[in-house]
Amino acid sequence: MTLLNNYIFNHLLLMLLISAFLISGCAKATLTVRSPAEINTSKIKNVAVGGFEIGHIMLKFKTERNGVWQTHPVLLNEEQQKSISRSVRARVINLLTATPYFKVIFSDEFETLANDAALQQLVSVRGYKTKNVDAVINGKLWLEIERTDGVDLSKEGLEYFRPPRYRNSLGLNLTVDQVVWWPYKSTRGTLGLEMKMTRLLPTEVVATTFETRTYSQRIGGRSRESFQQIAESFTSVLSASKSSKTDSIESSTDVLPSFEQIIADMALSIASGFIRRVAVTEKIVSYPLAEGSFPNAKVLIEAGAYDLAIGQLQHATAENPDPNDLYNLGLCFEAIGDYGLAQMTYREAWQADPENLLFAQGLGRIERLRREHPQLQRQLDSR
Amino acid sequence: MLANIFYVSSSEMRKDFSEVKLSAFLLLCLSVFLITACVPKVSFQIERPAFQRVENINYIEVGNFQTVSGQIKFPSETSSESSRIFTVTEKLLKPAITKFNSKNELGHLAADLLRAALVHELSLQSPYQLINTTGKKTGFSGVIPDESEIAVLHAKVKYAEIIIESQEGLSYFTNVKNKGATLEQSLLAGVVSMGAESSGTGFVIATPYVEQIAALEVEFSLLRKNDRSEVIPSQSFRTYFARKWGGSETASHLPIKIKNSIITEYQSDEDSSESFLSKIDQAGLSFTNPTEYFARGFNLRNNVQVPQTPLDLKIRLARQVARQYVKQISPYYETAELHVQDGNSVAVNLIRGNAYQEAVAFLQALNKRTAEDEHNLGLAFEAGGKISQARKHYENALKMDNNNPVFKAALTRTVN
Repeated sequence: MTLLNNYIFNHLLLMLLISAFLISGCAKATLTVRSPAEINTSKIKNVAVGGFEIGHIMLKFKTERNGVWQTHPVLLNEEQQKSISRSVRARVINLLTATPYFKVIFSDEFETLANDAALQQLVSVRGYKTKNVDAVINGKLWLEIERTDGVDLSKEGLEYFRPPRYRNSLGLNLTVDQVVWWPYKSTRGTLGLEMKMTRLLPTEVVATTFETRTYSQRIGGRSRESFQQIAESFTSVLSASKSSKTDSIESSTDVLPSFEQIIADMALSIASGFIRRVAVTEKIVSYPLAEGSFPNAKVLIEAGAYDLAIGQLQHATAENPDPNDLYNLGLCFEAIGDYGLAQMTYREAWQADPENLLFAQGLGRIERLRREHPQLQRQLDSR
Repeated sequence: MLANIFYVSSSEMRKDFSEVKLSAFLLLCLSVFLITACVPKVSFQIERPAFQRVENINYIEVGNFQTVSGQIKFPSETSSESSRIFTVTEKLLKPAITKFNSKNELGHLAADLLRAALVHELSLQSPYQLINTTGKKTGFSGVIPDESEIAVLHAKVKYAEIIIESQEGLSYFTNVKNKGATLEQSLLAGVVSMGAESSGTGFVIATPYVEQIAALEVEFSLLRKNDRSEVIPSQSFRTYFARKWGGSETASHLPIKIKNSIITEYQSDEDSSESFLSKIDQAGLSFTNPTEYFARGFNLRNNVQVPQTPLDLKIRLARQVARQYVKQISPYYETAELHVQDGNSVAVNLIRGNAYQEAVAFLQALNKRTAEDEHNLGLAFEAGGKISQARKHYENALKMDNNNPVFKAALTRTVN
């Protein structure tokens, strides 16, 4: 019996060792990496935001009773439509001012332009020059929001139960099918927003995006399948934990948001997507670290002190070019967005140990970045 | 053997063993999980060449997007077996839709959205520089490129949209079931009420529904600016949408065969985005990458029970057509699962790490390549979008090993 016990014990130990090895082999650091702008905007500093043209705005209230639908459009005058476009524009400006790479110039000259064609007209005048504006962002929006008040219909089995009164009676235990009307309120919003960044000298369209966001919510009505409900509640708990306490009424699932709220949320989302295209943004990724001979580096990288880590690793690898240290150095260069140096260092590490998958992956990451961002390729080549 | 000893031992020992077994099992699970987590995914981002050859064009000007009235053809029917089984219960609602007629007032909006979607796709992944995106006469000044390098994109747009908000009389057959009934009895009752409902007996109650049906047809032409010659032949693209919220699933204003073919051909992307797993992924992103979470709009609620807005519908169709067309004139990326062969381990490593250019350089420098190496070299070329070179090396691999099915599959993939 002891033999058997020993056998099992040894097995367990072996497994423990294997998993410990695997955990250490998989050591990953969470890095804050600068991801390049998808479009080369390196020479653009001062940005003016032009007007946002209105492509289409439609707000509607709908009611449905006994299968009869009625639609009441909300008529907006020109001023009201403009105020919607201004609120969308404000979200974009908000985000632009938050990035350290652009300076927003508040200039009437561009804001008052009615549409894209007017901007083209202005810019295309030969010799047009403006002192302090490098590029102009303008946009066009399409918006539809509907709010519906209606009824779902379904057949539900209702249970009737009466306990037995006498000894031999079975009591009453019936399921009775009934048609049930479930009132609901729902809203759905769609915002399509085209945003364009035009460089003034030389004039060219640097970036264009057309993004869409939708928002749909429903209160009441027939309950959904349990599977979907689980998914819904799971995500709502997670997203609720992220929001601050002050907007608990707006974020409650029991309240339909106002038109303004829906527009603001959708515009913010699109604007942050656009900013990601034109500005350098930071993202959090987890990449594996190599087990180098220089333990301090690992601590520094995990703490996000990349510059310090670079200094120390450069020193260490100059004396003793351990490929693992070189890889970690490449990781630091990648994190601060210096992809040229990152690639060089990864290659050095890989040449020292060509069988190492980790080093190949480092090379692959940079190669992929270059492939997917042709502008980055040009930036690197011009170095 | 272990189990046999297990049973002859005393009860105390039995308890110990089961605990040991459990922990061993847990460890096994843990290590399996870790192993799978550590294996790098061999996901290939492959660059595919454009479907058409576009020569000597560096700039694109977006020209006139004109709306035209007329009829849009129905999609061809798919004769799948599954749709035939339900033919008994299908019902054509009135007014039945027999053709798609495009209307100009909606067409303008659709054409405008199509232009926006097209410019977006072109700016995102095409090698061309956009110089005028509004379709207006005045272009930008500055350095005006040689007109023979400019292509002007024109389109003729037909758009039909039918949104029906109405009610249909559905029959509800209600019955009373005794809980004490046997399984056979309750099954029988279920069958009876289903049969009664489909034959229309029962309470007929007005049940509300919304049905959206739309079709978009666009004819594109790409003309060289200096001599108005065609850069590539003009092409037409069609896409459709049909969906119903509420009411009976088998009743529609469209003939059911047409509707089925629209759903299978043009709406296959719809279900995948709603899966439970993707929801969890999205929620996880709110912690790991909040900027991304907001930028992709995952913070916005999305209830699939709420019908789309007509704007959603137009944007959806416009995007589908824009993507199809951009693939014709510009290289694009797609993710593919390809199998790396067991060749030179250094090259295999590089390919698995997504470093295709390095792999090409390394393999080309090798003095002697095996059939597997030739295949892997082809793979590295293919992943970088160089299909003709890839094909050459797949052919080499097949010459060395005539019967290898993987090499054959790779060659057929690149020939098409």
